[in-house]
Amino acid sequence: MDGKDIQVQDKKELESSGEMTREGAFFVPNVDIFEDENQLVLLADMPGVDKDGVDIHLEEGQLRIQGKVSGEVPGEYVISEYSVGDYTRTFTLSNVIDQEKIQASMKNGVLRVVLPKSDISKPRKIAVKSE
Amino acid sequence: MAIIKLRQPAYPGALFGQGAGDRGYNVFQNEMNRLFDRFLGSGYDPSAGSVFPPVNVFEDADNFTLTAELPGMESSDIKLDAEENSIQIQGERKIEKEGENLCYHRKEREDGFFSRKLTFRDKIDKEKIAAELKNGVLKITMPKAQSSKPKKIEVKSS
Repeated sequence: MDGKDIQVQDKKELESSGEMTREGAFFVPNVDIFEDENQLVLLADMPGVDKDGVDIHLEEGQLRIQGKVSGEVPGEYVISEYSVGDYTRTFTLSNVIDQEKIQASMKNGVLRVVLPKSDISKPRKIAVKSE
Repeated sequence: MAIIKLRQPAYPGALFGQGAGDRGYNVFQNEMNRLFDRFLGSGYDPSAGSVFPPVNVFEDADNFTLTAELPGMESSDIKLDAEENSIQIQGERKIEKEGENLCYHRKEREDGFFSRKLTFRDKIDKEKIAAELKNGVLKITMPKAQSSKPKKIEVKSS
């Protein structure tokens, strides 16, 4: 096969700056964040989370994404190479975002959040879609 | 944070030279090595036997169940092969190109190929293996072969 091999990245556990109200480990999802002239896009790897488990919160320039994992597996651990837990990550946004127009969708465990910059004007609600 | 116990020298200079000889310096050297190991940890050495993807395997009376986190993949990107007591998972994670002239603030997600083979102690019934990819988690249910299930033997009294 040509091309590079994917490497193992350790799952980053959150060393909390704020207290979580739920018990259990929280992990920091890997993200890609990019922007063009009209919008900011965030992609977060949150395997095990379906669209109902996503919570997105934007307040005073802070964007927080949270994902709750679902799905039980029967039996006892024989091999345990990774931990399972909910995801959370918070970002400070420097651009002014049009909050009414934030869109989010979840596909194959990847959350996509599109944050339009506020000079565009088309009112819409935040909805989490599954594709 | 690792706490290193300071060894109290029995007398000044006991750690370095003066009767301790080589042993004094080695003590210091070993402590420094241990300090680095604890700080860097095993997570920073990808060559130390960790292959993508990390898996969890569960066992109950009838099945082995394997889970692996493969976000952003479709089932067509994954290839599964099974033998009597092993399973091989291969595939490619692709990350779509999002557009031209983009300014990336963060780029943490990785793409690439992977291939991993796992061998089990018990034989599995490869005809009955089922695999499901849901929300980026691959779940493979492998029923144990009849011959490897524990059999209850009745003790008859005569």
